[in-house]
Amino acid sequence: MPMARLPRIRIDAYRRHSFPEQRPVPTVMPWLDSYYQGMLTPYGIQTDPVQMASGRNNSFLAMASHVLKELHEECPLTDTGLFLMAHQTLDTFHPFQSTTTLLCRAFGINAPAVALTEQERSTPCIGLTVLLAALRQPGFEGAGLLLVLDQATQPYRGDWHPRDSIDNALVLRLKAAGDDAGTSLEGRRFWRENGVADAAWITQCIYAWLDTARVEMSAVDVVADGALAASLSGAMPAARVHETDRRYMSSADLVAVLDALEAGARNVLLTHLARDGHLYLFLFRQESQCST
Amino acid sequence: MLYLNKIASYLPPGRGQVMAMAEGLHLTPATATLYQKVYGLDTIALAETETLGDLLDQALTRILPAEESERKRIRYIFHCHAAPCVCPAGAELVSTLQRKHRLQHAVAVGLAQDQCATPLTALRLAELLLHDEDDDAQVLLLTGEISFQQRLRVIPNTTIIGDASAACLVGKRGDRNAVLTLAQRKFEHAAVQPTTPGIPVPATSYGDDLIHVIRDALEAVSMKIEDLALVLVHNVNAISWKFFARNFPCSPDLLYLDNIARAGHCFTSDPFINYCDAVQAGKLQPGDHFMMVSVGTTSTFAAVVLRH
Repeated sequence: MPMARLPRIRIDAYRRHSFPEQRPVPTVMPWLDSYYQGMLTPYGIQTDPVQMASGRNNSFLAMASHVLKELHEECPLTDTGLFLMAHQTLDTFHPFQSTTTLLCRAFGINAPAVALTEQERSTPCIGLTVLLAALRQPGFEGAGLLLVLDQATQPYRGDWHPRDSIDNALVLRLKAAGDDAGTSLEGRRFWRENGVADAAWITQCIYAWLDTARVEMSAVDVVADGALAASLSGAMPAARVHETDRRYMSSADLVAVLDALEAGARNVLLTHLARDGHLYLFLFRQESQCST
Repeated sequence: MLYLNKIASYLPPGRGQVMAMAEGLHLTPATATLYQKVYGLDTIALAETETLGDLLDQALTRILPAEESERKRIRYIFHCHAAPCVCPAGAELVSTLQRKHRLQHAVAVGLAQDQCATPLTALRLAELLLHDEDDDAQVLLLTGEISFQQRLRVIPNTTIIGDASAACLVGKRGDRNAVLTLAQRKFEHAAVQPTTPGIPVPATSYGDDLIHVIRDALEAVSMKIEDLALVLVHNVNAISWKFFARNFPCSPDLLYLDNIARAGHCFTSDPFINYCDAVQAGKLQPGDHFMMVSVGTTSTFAAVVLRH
């Protein structure tokens, strides 16, 4: 049976920014440390005031406002139909603040707005999955916004993100845009019943999916995280594999994708293996110069 | 259309009396009396020894089908919480439970930012994701939260927080709890007080905003509030719902307020706890229309009309 033709989803615009500057520690509740202690104790973690005092103190709101303001100067945000914010770190000094609510108010966004979290660097992949599903539905109106951000000022010392992590925010505006030129995006998630996501299975998924997308491996730049990048380089010698920079935390994958697109890559395959064994593949195809 | 096919809730065994908790909550005796006598809060559910993971585990245990094939239908798990974060980055909170309950095939993710309204607004995401799935596919909404600090138990002049968890299986097919509409709004003028006193408190316009979103929901399905058999409220306090009944106006008997005194406001779990107890009490009959209402303190209001 012939498949119904799905609308192409395109990156309408994007903005990204890193925040190396140090900001002053904001005034916080005196009991914030004990609040975090209550949160961290079940995981065997102690709060560390030194970590909080020595951070760059970029709040989610400050970082998000920066990139959304830049995006807003290029295109309206009032036609947003769904706004997702993906992150893995705490917004340490503002643990009860609804950043999305404040952003909606500031930028005139009247749409469902929710944050996705708790899946580390996989969270943006889940966000892209939701937005692709939304934008393909006939009744869905407007654009999809994916805001990805993290900040490294944490109330504890941990190995879950690199010590030299970069406070950073990135926003993609996606639209269902017919056959217009631009950077298109499609994606698919794979899961193996036995839970073993080895290099052979991942390579098989990639080749099978690229085959259905009618793209040759030699024409693709592959983006992947450390160990996966190494194994894919070995398993797919024809591919140009780019390793992500983990210092960007949740944004690492998309930063590498945008770097490759800006460097002139025509097809970029984001390959993300989540810790829970789910494999996400996203193909970014550039039909003309990408908006920067 | 979505269906809430199965709903389960869990209140930990610990309980605290508001008057006895006053000192620990930094409430004067007079203020504690206000919370008890006027706000209608009496007993608060407390996780005295349980962790958040324990609470979620209890809700999962109560809702998950025994058959492996039925578990496989769960494609997504949304852990909905009121606080933006309830665990450190990298913590295996839900993934530990996925392994225990053989749910690794499902994609789990935390949802937040609509505060206590998050599980209701999450229905929109569930609908989007289920659209492309098989008819049997389900999304599992998991709610549960603990006040990690005693100060967090009190939303000034509003409520006292209890600890609880709940779970809800949402599908495209079902024979109960059809979701007829979801109305949600972020009101522009709601108050946000991010640092002083630290916890956002509802705006003075709260009562009007609540009426607006409930009217939105009823208008979307061409119903009057009298057509509902029950409104499953959030358990923030009784007085605000009594004002609502007077101002909407509607009969106070429509409002399910029993758990305000029994458990306190249990973050995102209120609608599901109230559903379970209302069904147990025989207050919902097959075919009855009812409403779930929840509010995030920084302005997200959500109301869902369902048919039992």
